[in-house]
Amino acid sequence: MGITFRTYFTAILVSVLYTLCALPFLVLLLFRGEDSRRKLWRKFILCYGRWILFWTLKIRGRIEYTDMRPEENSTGIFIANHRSASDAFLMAVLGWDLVQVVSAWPSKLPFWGFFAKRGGYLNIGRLPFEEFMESVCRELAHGVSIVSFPEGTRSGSKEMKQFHSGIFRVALAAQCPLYPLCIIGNENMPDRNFRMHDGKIRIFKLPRINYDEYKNMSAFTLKKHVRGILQAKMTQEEKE
Amino acid sequence: MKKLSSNEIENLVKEIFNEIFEIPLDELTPEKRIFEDLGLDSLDIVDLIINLQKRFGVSLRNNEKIREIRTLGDICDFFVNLDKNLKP
Repeated sequence: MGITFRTYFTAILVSVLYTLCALPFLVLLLFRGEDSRRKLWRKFILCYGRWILFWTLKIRGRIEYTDMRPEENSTGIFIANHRSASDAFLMAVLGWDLVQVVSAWPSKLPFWGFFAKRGGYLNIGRLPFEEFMESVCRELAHGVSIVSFPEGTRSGSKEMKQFHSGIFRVALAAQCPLYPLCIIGNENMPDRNFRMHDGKIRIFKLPRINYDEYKNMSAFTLKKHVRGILQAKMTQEEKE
Repeated sequence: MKKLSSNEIENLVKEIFNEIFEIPLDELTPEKRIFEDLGLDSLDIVDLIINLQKRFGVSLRNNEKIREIRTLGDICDFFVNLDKNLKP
């Protein structure tokens, strides 16, 4: 049985089982207010992500998390490189209450799109920029962090694409900390054709960048700065 | 737009890139692609167009030729041609 078939079969099985297990708790959503409901949906997504990672990826890969110092962290924006579709699931290990910035097509996926919408995930493909900025600021003010993949699309390789500046313009307006998140090793887990391969995934949450450090930068300079930090970490780790 | 030589146009374009995006002048060579090599995106392009309009004193809003621009050299050529087409 091929690794790709095994992985997707397990993922579907886990999705069905998890949804069935969580169903009684989802009934609680009916009696909650809008914010509280979205928070619960996000908890549901977080636990689901962990199940998927545990049952599908962990059995054939080792995931290392370094520089995880929650005591030094506050609500902010995670800036991650984007090699593979598994990146979105890997965010579950951060354990934060967070909202991901997604493009148009993942929002349209039958199962995942449904939950992403209910969790308040931000569809950058549909929101006008002003509205996107307001939504990010509102989430941050409610203690919800944001995860953004400014490359916009999966690179499918060790190479990092150029960054879009939208999220950095928002960061400058929101005056929040930025957390560069370096994801290494999952470029083929799965690859751009959604075929699964063996590998070892490593995630590095790099030291946060406070607003004071970047307040005098333009959005363009800031995106170059953060991309440079991620690139340096990748080069260092993948050379070893 | 006042008449400028090709060199003056090239220097002015480079100056604008250097000022708004802080890209070192020695990296600004004509063959550099705006998106892939210099790392601009659609929002940066808006900033760029606003600055180009201001510095060259022209409106680019309805100019279809601007869509064909790919490289830094294309921007310079665009303004050289715009300059040529101006009535004396």
